[in-house]
Amino acid sequence: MKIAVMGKGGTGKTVVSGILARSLARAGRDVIAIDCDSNPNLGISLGIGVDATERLVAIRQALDEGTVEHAVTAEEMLERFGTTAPDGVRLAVVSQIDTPDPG
Amino acid sequence: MSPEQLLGQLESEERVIIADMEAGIGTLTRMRENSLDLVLLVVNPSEKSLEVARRGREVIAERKIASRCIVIANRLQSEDDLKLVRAALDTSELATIPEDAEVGHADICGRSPVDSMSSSPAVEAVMVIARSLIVND
Repeated sequence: MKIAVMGKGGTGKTVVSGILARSLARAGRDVIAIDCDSNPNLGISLGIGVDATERLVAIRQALDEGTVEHAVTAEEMLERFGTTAPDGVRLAVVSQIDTPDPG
Repeated sequence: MSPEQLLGQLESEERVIIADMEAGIGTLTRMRENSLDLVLLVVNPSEKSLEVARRGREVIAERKIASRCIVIANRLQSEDDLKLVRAALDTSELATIPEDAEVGHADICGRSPVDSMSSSPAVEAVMVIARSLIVND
């Protein structure tokens, strides 16, 4: 099931996403949380803490700047650049900038 | 990789993928048909957030992005708050989350409200939403 959480900034979108992800995981589902926000705070709402969240953001920036090689597939991206939050929720931070098509 | 390419690659029968989108509806205007199963439209009892949700719902319908939308009325403090949301977004698919000081407090402390020491009505409300999604899946 693919769920997107949207809304005006400041409505509590990220907090709702985080609590929902943890709740679904506690109910036994295999949950992947994706932070597409340019203000990436989903890690905090998931419970990984400020330091781990900032590390993920730094990885994201390195990827965007090209100082770290991109993963080829989404699975690889999750494995190499994601982290695991409490209740087994996996989290990745992704860029809002679409990779331009080559040529 | 765009968010929808990412979601498409990661999805499987067993998984639930939750994407916390960029604020506003910009991303929706670029998404394709059937790229999502469900959109949660988070609103507060404020005209501006309700307007964003209204426009978001239109884009979702026009582009056939998802077959299901649920309005999540967050930070409700009164019956009037709920009435405001219902009047703006006429829908039977509505869930409510009460205003809860513990949520803001947890955020400031850099932790999840799920890990709070005391019970939280907002967390409980989201857990009810989660259970309803699983039942319907």
